[in-house]
Amino acid sequence: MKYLILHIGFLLFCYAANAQRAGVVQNAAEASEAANAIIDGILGTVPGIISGGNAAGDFPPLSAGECAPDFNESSNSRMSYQCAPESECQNCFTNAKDKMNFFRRQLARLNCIYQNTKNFTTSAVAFGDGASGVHAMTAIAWQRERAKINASFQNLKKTYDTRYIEFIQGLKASLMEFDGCENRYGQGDWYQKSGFIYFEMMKERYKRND
Amino acid sequence: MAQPFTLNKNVKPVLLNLIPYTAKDTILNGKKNTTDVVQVEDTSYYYVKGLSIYQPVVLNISSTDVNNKMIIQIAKDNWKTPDKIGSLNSKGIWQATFKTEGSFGIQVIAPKKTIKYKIVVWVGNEPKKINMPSPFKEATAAPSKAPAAAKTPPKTKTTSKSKSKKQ
Repeated sequence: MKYLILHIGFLLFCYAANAQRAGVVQNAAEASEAANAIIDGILGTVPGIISGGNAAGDFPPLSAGECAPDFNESSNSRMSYQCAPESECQNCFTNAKDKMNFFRRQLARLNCIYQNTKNFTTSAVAFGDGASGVHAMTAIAWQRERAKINASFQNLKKTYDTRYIEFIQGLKASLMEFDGCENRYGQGDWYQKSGFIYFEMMKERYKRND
Repeated sequence: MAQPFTLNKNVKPVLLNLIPYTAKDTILNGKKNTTDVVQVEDTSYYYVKGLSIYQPVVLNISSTDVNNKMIIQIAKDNWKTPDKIGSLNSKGIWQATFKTEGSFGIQVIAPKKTIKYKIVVWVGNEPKKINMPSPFKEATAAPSKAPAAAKTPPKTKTTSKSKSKKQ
């Protein structure tokens, strides 16, 4: 009897504990429509999100030191080309420009991924170095963790270099396509006169230098 | 490195899974996460990953308990150095809009035992085209309506025609 009372008491305790336990319910399917209505309402309060074409351009970066793509180039490296608006040449140039912009965008993002990871690594290593001197065991564990963080960053450097070559070659190919349009519709030797300077500037700008 | 850094092994952030979101206005299509939480610990940790710097992010945390004095901290690199700190307004809502690459962490600090709240994350699709300044000089337009090759007929053809006439 005593055992039974203890057992019931234990079950009641477990029930009470469960009632207090943290609950995290994600993306509940039955509430999907309601959830969408909530999101619709929230987005309605965000100014300019539709007029801005859903682009993140006007949104600030989360962290003050975070890298955000910067596409501004010095006027010295800007290129010139000849094609009147609404003329036949526009198609040719537009295709080449779209490809060029794609690689500009990819290079800028790659650069940001690298810069952000570099910031993260520097900050994590500094934090760990500062915190690990408290206890000998912590120091040993931190050295292992530190080695992992550094190895991960070294891997990123290799990935960056591979992707950099891929994107810079893509950019060159799009500039050569543009050169083809110039040869066809405008003046010859466009790449030598104009595209080359831009390409060299972009090559230097995104080359990893650490 | 998909979440803010910590040496504290007790910090085990919950991944907020993003699932597709289809809006009435297709421009707002993207991904979402809605999470209902009953928190009994002092602090809860969450993180969102898989973001691109070209995607807009809206993070909304709300509670029906307007007296809920919870503190919300958003961190990029380290939980101990949050990039945004806030608390619910008089309507029980806190909201942030930003862009970021990779991931970010959300920390909710409760002033009392057992608080209930809802986290909503919306991430817009990466736009196909983004506004970027032109790498070209302004005054570049010159009239050129036909391909350069088509302006002057090929010499070889003219020669063959003139030859055939002579013959």
